[in-house]
Amino acid sequence: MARTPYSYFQPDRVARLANLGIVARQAVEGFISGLHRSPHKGFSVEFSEHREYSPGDDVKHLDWVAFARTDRYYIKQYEQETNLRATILLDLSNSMAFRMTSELTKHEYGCHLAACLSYLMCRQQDVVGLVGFDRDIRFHMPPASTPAHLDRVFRALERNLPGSQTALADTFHQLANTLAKRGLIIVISDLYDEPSDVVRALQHFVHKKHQIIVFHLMDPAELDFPFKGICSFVDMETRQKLQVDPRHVRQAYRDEVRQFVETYRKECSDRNIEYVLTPTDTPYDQMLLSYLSRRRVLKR
Amino acid sequence: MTLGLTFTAPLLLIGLAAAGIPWLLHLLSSVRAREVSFPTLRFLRSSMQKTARRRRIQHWLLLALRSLLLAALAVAVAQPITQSTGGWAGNPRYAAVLVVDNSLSMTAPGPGGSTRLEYARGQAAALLGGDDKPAAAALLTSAGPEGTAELTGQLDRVRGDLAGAESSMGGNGLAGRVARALDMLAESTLPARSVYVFTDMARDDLAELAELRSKAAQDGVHLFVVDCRGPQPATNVGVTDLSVTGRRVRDGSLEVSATLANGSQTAQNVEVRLEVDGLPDSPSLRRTLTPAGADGSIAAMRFRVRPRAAGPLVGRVRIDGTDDIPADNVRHFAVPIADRARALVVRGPASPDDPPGKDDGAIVHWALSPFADPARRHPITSTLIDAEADWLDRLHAADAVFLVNVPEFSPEQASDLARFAADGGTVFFVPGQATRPDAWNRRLVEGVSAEGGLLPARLDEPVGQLGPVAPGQPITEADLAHPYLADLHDSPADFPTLLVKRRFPLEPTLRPGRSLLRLADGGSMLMVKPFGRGLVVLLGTAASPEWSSLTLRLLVPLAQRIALLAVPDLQAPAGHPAGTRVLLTWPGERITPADGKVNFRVTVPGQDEPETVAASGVRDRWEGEFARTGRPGVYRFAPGDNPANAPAAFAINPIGSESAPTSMEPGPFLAMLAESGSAGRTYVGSSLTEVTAAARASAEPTGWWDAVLAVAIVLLAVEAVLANRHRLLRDVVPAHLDPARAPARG
Repeated sequence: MARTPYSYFQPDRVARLANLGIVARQAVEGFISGLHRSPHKGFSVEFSEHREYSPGDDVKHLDWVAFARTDRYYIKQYEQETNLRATILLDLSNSMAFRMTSELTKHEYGCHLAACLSYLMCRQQDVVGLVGFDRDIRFHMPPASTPAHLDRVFRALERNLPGSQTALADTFHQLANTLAKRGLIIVISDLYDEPSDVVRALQHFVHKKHQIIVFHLMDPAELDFPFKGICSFVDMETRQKLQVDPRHVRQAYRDEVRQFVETYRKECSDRNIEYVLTPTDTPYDQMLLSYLSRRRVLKR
Repeated sequence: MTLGLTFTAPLLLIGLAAAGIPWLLHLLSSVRAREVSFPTLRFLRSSMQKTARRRRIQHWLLLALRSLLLAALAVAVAQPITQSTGGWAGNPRYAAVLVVDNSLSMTAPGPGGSTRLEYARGQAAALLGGDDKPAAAALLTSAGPEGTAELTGQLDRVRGDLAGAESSMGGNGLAGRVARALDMLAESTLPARSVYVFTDMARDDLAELAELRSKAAQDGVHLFVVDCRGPQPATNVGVTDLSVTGRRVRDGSLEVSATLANGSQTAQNVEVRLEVDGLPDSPSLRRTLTPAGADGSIAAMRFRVRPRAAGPLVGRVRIDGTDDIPADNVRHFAVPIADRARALVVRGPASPDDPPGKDDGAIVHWALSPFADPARRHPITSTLIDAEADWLDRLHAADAVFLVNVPEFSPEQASDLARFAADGGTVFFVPGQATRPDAWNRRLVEGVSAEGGLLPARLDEPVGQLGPVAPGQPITEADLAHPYLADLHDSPADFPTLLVKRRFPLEPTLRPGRSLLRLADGGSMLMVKPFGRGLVVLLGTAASPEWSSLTLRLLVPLAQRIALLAVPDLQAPAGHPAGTRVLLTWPGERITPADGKVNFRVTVPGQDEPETVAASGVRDRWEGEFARTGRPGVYRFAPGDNPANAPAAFAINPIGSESAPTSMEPGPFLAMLAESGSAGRTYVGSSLTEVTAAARASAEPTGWWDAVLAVAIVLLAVEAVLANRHRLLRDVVPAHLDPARAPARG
C-alpha cells in the first residue's frame, strides 16, 4: 500500500478506479470540458494525452498509431469536454459512528468514499466541493479541482468527526438554496430521518436541476440485527435506552428496516435520484468500481 | 368410599410452597442487561410494539413451567400412591347401574324390620345421595317395568324412579337385568363403571348371574352385590305352577292341577282350596310339606271342574294361611270354554224294525250323545238325520258331521261337504253295508278336485266274512301320538285288542291321508287327512259290531274326541307368567267394525281404568298384544264398549321360582365366581358400606412418584430450552458497542 499523509486516501485502491470517470446522466453546465455530454454542440475537441487502455474503455478512442509504435494500447484523451461540478454532502451525525463487525464505522466508510470520489473527479478536471453536516452544516468547501483544494478536502475529512444529532431534511433544504449552479450532488449518509421529509428535501435539489446520487450507508448489523441476549440499547444520538431481548424482535426489526430501505429506494427512483444501498462490510473501492461501471454502461 | 390419591410421605408436600418461588423472584428481581450503543431506536420501538403480546405469553408460560416443575418435584418426593382395582377407585367420574331385585321374595321381612325391598331402596338411595355418588346412573328393576332404562346425569330422576319401584313379577329376572346393565355400561364413555345389585340373593337368580361374570370381567365392570335378606330366613309356601287339562267345552270334565312348594326351612301344613268364579268349587285339601330341598317339599294337588256354561272359566287355587310372601299363595287360571260340540249324524238306510244295535247311524249317535235329554250335562249335542232327508242345510250348525252307512252322495252333497271341511269343519266317513264304494270314489275322490279329493283314501269293495265264527284280522299298529288316539289309555299297553272281520280296503289317492290304525297285513283301517282348515276322517269298516270289535272299544271314545276336537280355540294356556306379552284373540265373525278398526279394552286387576289395545285383523279373527302384565290376577278383555260382547279372560301369575326363595350365602357365591377367576371384581356384603369396604380391602396401591418425576424432568428440559436457548448461541456483541467502554469520539 502506498503511504500518504491522509487517513482516508489510499492511492492503491483509488488506482483501480482511475480510469472510471464520474459520468453525469444529464447535461451539466461548466467551464471545463469533461467526459460529460455538453449542451454546446460543435464545441472543438483537442487531443490532450494518452493513457493506458483499461478493460471497459471504448475501443473507438484507441490510438492505433501509438499501438503500432509501442505495441501497447493507449487511449486518446481530449481536454475540451464539459466539466462536472460536484458537491459531496457527508453526514457527520453520531449515528454514523456505528460499527459492529465491519472494519470501518459508517463515518469512516463515508470519508473514504468522499476522498476517493474527490480525487477521481479532480483528476479528470471536474470540480468538487465538500459539505459536512449533522444537525447543522459543520463546514462547506466550494467546488474546485486544484491539488491544494484536494488537500484541504482530505484534511477536512480527518478533522470532522461525528458529533451530534441528524436533521437531514432541514440541512438539504438549506443547501439546495445555497448551491446556485446545477451539478452533481453526492449524499453520503445513513439517512436516519423521516423518509418522506428527506425525499422531499432531495426533491428540492432535483428542482434546482441537480443530479443526485445517494449512498445509503448501513452497517450489516443494522440490517440483520444479530444481537443475542437481553440488551439495553442506547440511542447514539439521543442517548435514550431501550431494553430488548433481540430474540423476540429480530424478525420484526428486519421487516421494519427492509420497509425503511424500500421506501427510500422507491421514492428516489420515482424522482430520478440514484439510490445506492451501501453495506459497510463491502470494500468501498469494490463498491465504487461496480457502481461506476454501471454508470458507464448507462452513458453509452 | 373414596380410594383416591394418598401420599407415603405427606409432610413432604410442604415442598409445594416452592412453586411460588418463580413468582416471588419475578416480583423481586430485575434483569441486568448490558448496554449496547445503537444508531437509532426507532425500528426497535415499533418492533417491540408489534411483538408485545407474543413476548408476554412466552414470559408467563416460562413462569408457569417453573412453578409446575417445582410442584411436580415436591409431589414426587412425597411419593403419591393410589389404590385401584382395575379402574374402580372412588373415581368421581364413574357410571353406575343400580339393579334392584323387586321380585316377590323381596316382600319378605328384611333388615331392621322393613321389607327387603324397602332396605334395597334405602341402600340404593344412599349411593345416589352420598359423597361418592356416580356421575351418571340408571335404575333397573328385576321385574315389571325396567326403571330408568338409560344412563343419565340427572340423579334426581333416578331417585324418583327408585322411590316408585314396587314389588312386581315377571320380566327378565335379575340376570337379565344385569346383562342389560352391562350393555348400557358398554356404551358409557366414563372411565369407571359399576353395577350395584340389591337382592335377597335368591339361589336361582345368583346362579344365572354367575354366568355373566366373564362378560363383566371383560368389560372392566365392577359388580357390587348388596345382600338384603336380613337375619331371618323367610317362611313361605307358594303355588308354583297350575295347569288345566281336559275338554274345554261346556259340561266337559277339566282337571286343575296345582303344584305347591315349601321354601321354608321348616315343614309346613297347608290347606288348599279351588275357587271358580269366586266361589269354592270343591272341598279343600290338606297336605304337609317337608322343609325346602327335601323330598316331599313339593306336591301336586288336583281338582275336578265341570264348566256349566260357555265362555271364560275363571278360578284360582289358594293356600289358606299366611306366610312372609303372601303374593304367591294364590294362582289364577282362565280358560275359554266352548259351547257343547255340535255333531250331525247322517245315517244310511235302516229298517225301522231293526234293533238299534243293527243301525250304524244310531250307534254313532248314541256314542256321541248317550243322554237323550239335552238338559243333562254332556259336552256334545248330537243330531241324527236320514241320508235321504235334506241334511245339507244343517251343516252350518255343526262342528262335525258323521256320515254313516250312506250309500252314495250327490255332486251337491260332495261339494258342500268339501266346503264344510275347508272352512274348518270335521267330516267323519263311516261306510257300512249300504255303501257303494265306486259311488263314493266317483263323488268324493274324482268329484272333488281340491286336495286330491275329499277322502283320505279310495274304498275298494268290502272283503271278509260276517258271523260269529268268521275270522278277523287284529289291529297291530296305532298312532297314539295323534290327538284322536293320544291318552285314551294310561299306557300304550292298555290299548285294547281289536279284531276286524269285514272291511273296505283303503287304497291311497294322489294325496293320501295319515294312517292311524293298521291291520296285521298293513292295510289301513283309520285315516285322517287335513282338508283346508278342517279334517276328513275315514274308517275302513262299518260301525256295526258285526263287522269288528271297534264299535264299543274304540269307536265311542273316538267319535266323542272327534266331535270335541272339532270345536276350535280350546288350547289357550290357563295362565301366563307375569311380565310376558299375551296374545289376545277374538273371532272376527262376532264383530264387524264400521271403520275397520277394533280396539280391545282390557280390565287390569286392581286398576280402575281399563287399558286399550289396538287389534288387527288376521284371517277370521282379530288379534292384539298386551304387555303390561305385571300384576297377578285375571284380566278380562272385549272389543269396544258394546255390552253384548261378553269378555274373554286370561290369567297372570308369579314366576314359580320366586315361591322358593332359597338364598345363597356370600361365601359360596364368591367361591363360584372364583372358579372363573373373576371374583376379584365382585364384592358382596350386607350393606353398601360393607361392599365398599370389601372393594377397598382388595385394592392394591400403585405408586406414581416415578411418573411424576418423569413429568418433572420433561418440564425441566422444556424450561431449560425456553429459558436459555439464546445463551446456547455465541454472544456476538463486540465490546466496542458498550457505551461505557467505547472510546470517546470527537
